Amino acid sequence: MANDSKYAYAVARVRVLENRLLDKGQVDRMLEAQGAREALQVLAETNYASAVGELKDVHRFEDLLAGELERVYREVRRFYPEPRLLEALAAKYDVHNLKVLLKAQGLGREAGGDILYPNVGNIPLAKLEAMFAQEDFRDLPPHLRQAVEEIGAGWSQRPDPQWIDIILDRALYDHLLALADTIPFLKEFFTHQANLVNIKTFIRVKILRQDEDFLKKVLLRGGDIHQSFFTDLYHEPLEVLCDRLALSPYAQVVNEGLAEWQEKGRLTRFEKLADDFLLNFVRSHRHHPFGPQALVGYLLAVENELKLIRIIMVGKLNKLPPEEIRERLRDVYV
Amino acid sequence: MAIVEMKKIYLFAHRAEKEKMVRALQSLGLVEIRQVEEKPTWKGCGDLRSIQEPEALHRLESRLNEIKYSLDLLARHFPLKKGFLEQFAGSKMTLTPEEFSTFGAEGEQVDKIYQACRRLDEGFTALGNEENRVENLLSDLAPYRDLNLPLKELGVSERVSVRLGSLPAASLAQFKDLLAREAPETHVQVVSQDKEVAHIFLIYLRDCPPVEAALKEHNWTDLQVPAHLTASPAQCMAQLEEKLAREREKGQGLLAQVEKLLPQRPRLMAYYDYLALKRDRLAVTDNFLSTDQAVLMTGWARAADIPQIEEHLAQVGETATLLARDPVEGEIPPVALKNGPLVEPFEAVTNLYSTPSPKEIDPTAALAPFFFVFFGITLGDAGYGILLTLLSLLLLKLMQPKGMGEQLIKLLALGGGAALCFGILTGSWFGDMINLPPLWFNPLDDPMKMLIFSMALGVIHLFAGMAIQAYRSIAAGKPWDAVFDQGFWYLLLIGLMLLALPAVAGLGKVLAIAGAVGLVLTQGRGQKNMVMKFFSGLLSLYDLTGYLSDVLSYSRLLALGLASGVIAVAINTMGRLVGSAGVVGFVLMLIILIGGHFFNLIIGTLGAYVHTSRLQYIEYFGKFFEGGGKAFTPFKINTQYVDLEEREA
Amino acid sequence: MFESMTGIVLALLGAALAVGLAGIGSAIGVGLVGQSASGVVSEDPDKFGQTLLLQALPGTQGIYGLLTGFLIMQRTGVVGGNLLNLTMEQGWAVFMAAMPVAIVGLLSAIAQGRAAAAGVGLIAKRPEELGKAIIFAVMVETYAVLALLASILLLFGITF
Repeated sequence: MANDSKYAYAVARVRVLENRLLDKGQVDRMLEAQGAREALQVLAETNYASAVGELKDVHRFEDLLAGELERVYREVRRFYPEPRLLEALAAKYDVHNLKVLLKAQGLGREAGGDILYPNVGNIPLAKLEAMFAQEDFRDLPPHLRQAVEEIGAGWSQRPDPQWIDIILDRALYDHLLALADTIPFLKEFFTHQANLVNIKTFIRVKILRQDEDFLKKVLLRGGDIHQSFFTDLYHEPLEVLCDRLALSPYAQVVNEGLAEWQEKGRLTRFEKLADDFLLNFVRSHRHHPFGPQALVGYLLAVENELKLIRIIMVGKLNKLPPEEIRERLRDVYV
Repeated sequence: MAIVEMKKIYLFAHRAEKEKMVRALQSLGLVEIRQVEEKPTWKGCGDLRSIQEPEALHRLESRLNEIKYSLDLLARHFPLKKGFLEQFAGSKMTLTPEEFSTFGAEGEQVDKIYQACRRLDEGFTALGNEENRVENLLSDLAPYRDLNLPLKELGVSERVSVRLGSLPAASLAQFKDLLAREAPETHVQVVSQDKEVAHIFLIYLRDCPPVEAALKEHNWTDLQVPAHLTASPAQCMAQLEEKLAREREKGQGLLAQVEKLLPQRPRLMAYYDYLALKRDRLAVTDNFLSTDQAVLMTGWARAADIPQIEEHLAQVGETATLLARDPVEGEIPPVALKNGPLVEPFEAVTNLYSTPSPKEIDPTAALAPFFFVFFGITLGDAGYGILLTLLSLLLLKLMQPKGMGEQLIKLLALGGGAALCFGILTGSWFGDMINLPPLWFNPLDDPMKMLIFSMALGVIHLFAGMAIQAYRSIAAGKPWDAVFDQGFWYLLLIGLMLLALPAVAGLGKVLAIAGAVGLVLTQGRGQKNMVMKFFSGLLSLYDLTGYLSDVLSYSRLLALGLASGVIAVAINTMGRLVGSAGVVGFVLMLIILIGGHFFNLIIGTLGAYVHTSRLQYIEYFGKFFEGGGKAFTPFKINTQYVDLEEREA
Repeated sequence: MFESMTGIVLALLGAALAVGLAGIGSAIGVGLVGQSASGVVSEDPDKFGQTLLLQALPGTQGIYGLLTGFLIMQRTGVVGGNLLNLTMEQGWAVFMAAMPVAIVGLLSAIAQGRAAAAGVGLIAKRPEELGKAIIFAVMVETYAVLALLASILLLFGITF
């Protein structure tokens, strides 16, 4: 009951916000639009109206997406009663920023090329940059500091950008699952996410024929499919993975994802299906009247929507036909 | 009973007259336009294609968005005041069609307003950012206010470093110790300190490693000051305050500019609606098919309206041809209801549940008398009834609501009448304020009698619902279903009720047993297996508990009726208690009586409406009503801000 | 303390509990819906009227409690009459008569508040479904009405 009144206001507010997400019709109209500018015009009738008005160059549509993400997080942070939940959901942006900065530093170049999220994560980008400038990471939260120190220590022997991803991802998921410990719904969500990441990692490792030791290091600890499941499978052909996961909720993701890989040699379908799986998981819980489900769903939906727009815009700028863009699109939340 | 007969219509016109036709249909508001589904294969009709004008539509949409943006900006700074009731009914300004059509030429003017709004909005954003920046600086500087040091002295000179900054209060003592030991020549001055942070003024020999190390170890953070601030902190703060005031003044200036735009708001609103109507007309052509010469549109219309539509179109254009036919198998026409003026308000009750499906009976007429009576009993006070009717009529006159709002308010007016009747019967006038003897009896004196009366009404209500279902079965050519599903239940239920009366208990026993046997034998007829047939039949008797709880549910009529009556008495009692204490007491009494009865009227009306509806939806509709139809939504003039006066027909 | 206790004290304790517990329930319920409603209205001010209607629903239990309390006061002559001299037995009877509305009122108002708050979420998405949102909440109230009925019948059944 205490929880009811804690979430009642926020859930109701999120319900209204959900109304402003793009619906299928609008996405379809973007798809069918003549060109990139026209596709953007569809957005002018939506939540994005003022941002579209200010966008001078279609090619800079990423600014619009970043701006929207920042706006949504800022808005939600203002009214949400459970900061831990937002901290968990925003943590991935800190890690993303860290990765970009670390790689830039390690490879000795500017970080300009990659997308950075200035004010979405829990640590403002400016602060991160200041830390890098002073080479002083004491203000980082402990789990990230440890990871950064580990990377710094290992860099001289092994200057491999992939290593940065691996260590930070592990730190991220360990932290997320610890944060989510008291919020069962969130825990379940992150567990699914970690499982899907692990399955993808496994497939990658197999395809690239990397060694077993590497696999052990790369697998996240957060999922409920145990590491040994993957290491046992390492010496079997990839198809066995499908059989072993046939009874798991991920059967369809794995089957169709692998089928496309065998046909076309890419994993985009797997990624799309994995995203859809998570979205559907959240969607099936979103009507819970009091609890974190609605907000998690909403934020995921926003991120999903941004991905949709990005895919469409990239497709339109490259003059792909609508059908080809549609193949890559994710579901719509609403 | 009162679902209107719909016809599918086909309208042909010359392409040149398309615009005219659409305009005529929009102002008529009698046709629901649908996508042309079948590709006609008439001889010589040639190649049909759809006509769409996405670019024009797009232009209109983005225009509408611009106006909306301007209106939003105005509303953000000067909200439109909306009364509480207006949120239900909406209020618009009224224009004649002639006035309205002059707005077509407003484009340029509106463009200017939009540009102005854009500029102002950008101005507000820039100001907001600047204000934020200054406020942050101010709060950063505040801890150093008492320090008499020009900020330009900060930094590294030839010999010394001069710094302002902060470190955690907890490590202050340690920090001082360290410096005193390692670099005693250092000047450390704590400018101010709170529970967490100590703000420090520091001068030390340039590049003195122990000091640098100590700073790092204790998490020293420098105060960041922009270069243009050179005076002492207090002076700088004064400057900044001044700047802030100037910025705020600028904001007021912007606000004044917005206010200047305010008189343009009605114009924007009207133009918005003007364009929105144009957009609607354009959007609806998506549904048409056309050849080089002609356009074809299809849709639904009430059969009774067709001559009027035909006549009107013939007046407007020369080439319009209208064909109408009955719906064919597989087509689901939209549903429009038609009822007499007394029953029509009750359509709101039906529609709030669900639009009836085109294949069933409009339940409105069948629920109206029950709704009326139940509402009367639950509100149950003659004084409240009169008040409610008067208030509703007043609202109707003042606000002139349309559609469902109008129906609901009329419903309340009728409900007030019902409460008046029932209040006269029970002698309740604002509780016991006016002492008139009841025509029938006072439920407070004999609640059991009222309880039985409520449940008896419930039985009648339920039986009526079953009768309608029986009628539907018979009309559908399944008379046996009516006998099995309703007839046997009638037997059983009537029999059980007769058992309670000693005089006819014998007859009741016979009827009940006959009904029960009939049910056991017939209710399993959907099953294939003989055993299953029997058990389903037997199990159906369990529905008896459903009927029992249905009937018990009508006890709310008594409970709610008593509630509003007794609370009214309580208000009067309180009033009398204070009323005897001189002038002050009299005023207090008036406040209690007026406020209390008004409150009770609102709560009582809400309860009466809500619970009476529930009895219709759950107990009554459960017996026969399916719903799930799609309401008839004709293509019409649909405005957001402006009401067009009716054209003289 | 108990030696000096007479029937009338018990009866008034019943009245107090009926008013108090049902009132607490309503307050919690209405408060919960109010939070939901302000969540919606903060984004969409036009929904004020509709959500207010839903917010009022869990308020009725408090009124039923007051009604029962007032009836007890009236029947025992605390207001507007001569104070009756109740026996302990009569006092207990009145106390028991107040219990249905007190207990059911408390809990059903909270439950109804939850249903109505969820209804507010429904309205946020589909304002045209207000009727259904109200019905869902009113389904809960049935039990408060039944409890009120039981309390009233019990009260009228006691002879003084």
